[in-house]
Order: sequence, then C-alpha cells, then structure tokens
Amino acid sequence: MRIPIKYIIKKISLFFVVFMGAITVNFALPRMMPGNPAQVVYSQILRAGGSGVSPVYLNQLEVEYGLSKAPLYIQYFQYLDNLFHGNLGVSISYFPEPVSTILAQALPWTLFLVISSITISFFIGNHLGRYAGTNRNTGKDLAIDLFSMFMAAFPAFVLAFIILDIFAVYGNLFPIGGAYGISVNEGLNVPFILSVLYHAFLPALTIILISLGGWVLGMRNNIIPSLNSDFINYSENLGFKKYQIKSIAYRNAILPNMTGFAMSIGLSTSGVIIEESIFSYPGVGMYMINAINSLDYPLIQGIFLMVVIAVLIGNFAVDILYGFLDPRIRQEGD
Amino acid sequence: MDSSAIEIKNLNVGYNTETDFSLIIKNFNLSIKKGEIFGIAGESGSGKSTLAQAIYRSVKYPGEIESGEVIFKDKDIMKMEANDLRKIRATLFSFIPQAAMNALNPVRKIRYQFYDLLIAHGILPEKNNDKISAVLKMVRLNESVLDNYPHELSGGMRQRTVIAMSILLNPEVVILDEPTTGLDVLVEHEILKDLKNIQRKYGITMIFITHDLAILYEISDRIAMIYAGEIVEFGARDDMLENSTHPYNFLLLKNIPRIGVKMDNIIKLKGNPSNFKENFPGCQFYERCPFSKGECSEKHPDLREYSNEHYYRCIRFPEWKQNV
Repeated sequence: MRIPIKYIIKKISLFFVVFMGAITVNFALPRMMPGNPAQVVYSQILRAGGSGVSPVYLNQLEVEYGLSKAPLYIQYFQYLDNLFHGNLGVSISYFPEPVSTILAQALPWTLFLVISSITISFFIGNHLGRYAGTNRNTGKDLAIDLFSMFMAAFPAFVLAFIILDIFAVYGNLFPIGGAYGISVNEGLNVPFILSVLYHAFLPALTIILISLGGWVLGMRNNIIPSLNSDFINYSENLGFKKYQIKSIAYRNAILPNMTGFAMSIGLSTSGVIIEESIFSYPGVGMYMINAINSLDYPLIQGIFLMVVIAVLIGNFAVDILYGFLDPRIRQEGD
Repeated sequence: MDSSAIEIKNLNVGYNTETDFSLIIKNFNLSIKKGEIFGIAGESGSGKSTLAQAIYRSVKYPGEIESGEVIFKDKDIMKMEANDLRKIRATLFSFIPQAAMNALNPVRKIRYQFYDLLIAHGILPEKNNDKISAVLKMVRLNESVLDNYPHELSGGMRQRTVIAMSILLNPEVVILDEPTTGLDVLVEHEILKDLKNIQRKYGITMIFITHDLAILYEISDRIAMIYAGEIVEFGARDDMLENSTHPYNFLLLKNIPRIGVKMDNIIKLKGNPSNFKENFPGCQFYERCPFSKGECSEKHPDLREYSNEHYYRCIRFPEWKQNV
C-alpha cells in the first residue's frame, strides 16, 4: 500500500500546533489565578506545621514554578525549557517527589488498564452491535439494545462499588485494591504477571461494562444504513455470498467507531479516575483525586498536560489509521 | 416458448403501508424475447423500478411481491431457493442498478471488487485477470481503473465499471434500471451506444427501464409503456412510434420538445401523476386523458391487440385518434 506521506506530514504539523496551544494554556492558567500557586503551597506548608520554612523557600518555590518576576515571554521560554527536559515541578502532597516521577510510576498502570479494557470493550461492543444490527427488529436485537442502553446510562461509581462489594468484599474472590500482590517480585515473571492480571480484573470489568453500551449502539446504528446502502444492494444483486456482504457492511460501518476508540483511549488516561480510586488502583486517576483533594497544583497541572498529550496522540493515531481505513479521507490530505 | 428469455405471469407487487398493503403492479404479464432490447417506460412513480426489482426478485421491505411467476430457463425465479437464486445472479441473470454511481464499495479498490465477484461465484480470481481486462475493454475503460478507489473515478467511469461487473460473467439476461441517471447527455449517449454494441455482439437480452423517451426509442427493439403499474401500450418500436394506440403514448411523443419549434401545440395533461387509485373501476388514465368520456370511468379496459404484437389498453381507440 502506498504510504500517504503528505497526509502524515500534514497531520503531524497540525498535531504540533495544537500541542503548542495546549501547553501554552497550561502555562497561562496558573498565572491567571489570583495569588500564585507558590504562595498557596507555601501557606499550606506553614499551616501543616512545616517548621523551618522561610520566605527564602517561597522564592525557591516561585522559581520552581517558573513564577519569577521576569517578563512573561522569558518565563514562557523557561517553562518550555523545563517542559522539554521533563521537569514538571515538585508535588506538594507527595513532597518532595517530582511530578514527573509520580506520573512515570502511575501512567503505565493506567495505560495498561485503559488500553486493555477499552480494546476488549471495543471488540465485544462492535461484534454485539453488528449482531444486533444484522438481526434488526428481532428479540435478540431488542435484548442487546436494552442491555446497552442500561449499561451506557449506569453510573460508573455505582457499578464499581457493586462489583467491588460482590466480588472482593463479600465474595472474597478478588483483591480489594492495588495493582499487584505484595509477595511477588516486580519484573517479567509469571507470578507477577498473573498477580497483575488478577488485580486488574475488577477495575477492567467495570470499565468494559461501562463503555460497552456506546460501542454496541454506535455499531448497530452504523451498520443498519450500511446494510441498506446502494453498494450492499448491488452486491446482493451480483450474488455475493452472505459473509462477503456482511464484511463489506461492517468495514464501512466501523469507521465512525474508530474515532471514538482513539478518543476514549486518550481521554481515559484521566477518565478512569472513579474506577481507579474505588479500586485503589495506583494509576493516574487515583493520583488525580488525591491531588485535587490536597490542592496539589503541580501534580494537577502535570496530569492535565499528560491528558492533553494523550488525547492528542489518540486523535493523531486515529487520523493516520483512518487514512488507511478510508481512502476518501486520505485523498483530501494529498 | 423457446424464443422467450423471460416470462412474467400474473405478477402482483405492492408496498406495505402503516395500515394496509397497496398494490402497485397489478396482474402483470409480459414475455421478453431472447436477444432483444426490451424498453419499459413510465413516469416517476409509475412502478417501473418496482417492476425491475420484482423481475429480479430484489424487492425490499416495505415492498413485497404478492404473487406471480417469473419464468427464466424453465424455472420460476419467485420459487427458487435463496442460494440457487444467488448462484444465477450475475452469471445468467444480471442487474445494472439505478444510481449506479453509488453501487461500488467506497473503501475497496476496483480490482478487489471484481475479485470478490469472482470469489462469490466460486471462480479463482488470479487466473481470470484476462477476463476482467476483456470486459473493461468492452466498456472502453483503461485497465488502470483497477487500482483506483471508486471516488477517484468520474461518474461515467463508475457507471462503466458497474456495467463491466454486471456483465463480467456473461449473463444471458440483464435488467438495466435507469442505468444512466445522473450522467450528462454526452456520456449517457456513449454508454448507451456501447451497451447496444455489447448487446448485439453477445446476443444478451436486455430489459431497459427508463423515463427518457428519447433514449427509449433510440435503443429498444420493443417497448412497453407503463402507467400506474400496468401496461397501457406495447409493441415493436416502430409501431409504437408511428401508430400510437393509447393517448398516453401519443401525447408523450407529441410533446417531446424540439429545438426551434414553438411549444404552442402542446396538449397539457390534466391532474397529477398516477397515484394508484385502487378501487377506481375505470381506466387509470381517465382523469388526465383529454380524450376520455364517461364510459372510461366505468369499465377498466383490457389489453387489446391492434395489429401483430401491438397491444393497447383503451376502449376509445380508434375513435379518439380521429379527433386529433
């Protein structure tokens, strides 16, 4: 297949512009707040009985946040410099841990949990949706639709509590928290991997159930018009086999869902906050809740930045993928 | 019987509405000869597309074939097993659809769409590239279209691609349901010319459905004029053109606009296009016919023979013709 280089370059430049915009907003937001984060942090440490902190430390904090008295554009370049060196400041609630270290610990767990469960959910959802759509107006279709709507409307935190209660608290079948057991050694060994899967099961189940409905309904509603399209009618008129017709319809119907897939992977780096904190899963979401509760500006800012990047990468990935899946889009880019 | 390619017997087709079933094609009988181009013409809503789909047994809900037979090669298409029907499609009996512009899968290269068609009929695609090349040549397309996606082709090229796919497996009978809709006159003319050449060369029987009288009279050997789901006149092209026996055909022909001729002599049709008054006892054309009389609204006219294989459905012929 011909690789659409122009299309990819165009998408990369667009991606870069949006990325610069996002980090600029991230730079501007704390500076638009009354007072400044350094003072908030400083007073918090004082209130918490932090002995030995002096106004010198306030200055240090301000430097740490890039909140110097220097002109705004110089601050901006300092901020960019810090950013590209991976320096996101120091967390308050996990003082003196740098934000980047916390994110580096939390992000892999979140990515593992989110990507695996959304992928499973996407796979099951699309197939259920296809089944419902091809058996339109039958009892099976109705049952799948009702289930999907119910699940899509069900509050995530309620489901998380129910699942936690049934399987972990009363059932005692699964652990109530953590990402892996204490007794296993971190590394690529079988007990560790099993322990990770065991611990991820309940949060993943929750995410799968909650996100399933959207895929099912999306797929069902895409495949119905696809099955009635001119090209499907023509394929039938040419005596195509059933499986060929279904695959043509499916291939055309999955396109809109692909966008949703990448978007939700991106968004979910922060979007599984509720599931992660209920299951005490040490991902970004859990740290986010803690950071908000303790007004940990640097950490919140760091997570915000990370989410922005994740959403952008997700969109970027889907743009590129879409170019391969749908030749019509690719040509616009050429 | 041997000379007929398709026999349509007592075909009844209708549409399900919210409350009941309304019949569009009523007791339709027609015999199509081998190797001819049979043109079927009618205005919008006259049921001609429904008829085309019914003959091909591809009517979709809310449309429904109520009863009738379509005999093709001594078998009734209406009673065939679904898989047997699938097998004869494109191989013996083929269809070129209306809006052929959108008939190709937008996300697949033309080559693989040809391959899919071959696979569907149990033919190995790799060994049949020659066959595909030959059929593309027939419709005067360059082989390079095989490596294009449908959106990269012009409307005319897509149309030709669809024609090529429909005749790839050498069908004996092809139904064309307004195959040139949406193309400009020049492209339309070229495609029709090519179709006619292919038809003559391979002796394909074509059932050609259109609302365009100019095309119809240009391409067809025999013609049936349809009004409100029934034949009002049918016969050989020349008979239909020179000796119209039904006012509908007569007025349509008379009113074809000609450049440079003033449109003063047009006889306007009253009323609205056919709207399928089911319980109306008289002639369906009664309200709009400028020659109708009281008796027309009372008795439904039968199809009568005027001369050899030239039929009409009008009780006032030949009286009405003396008045014009």
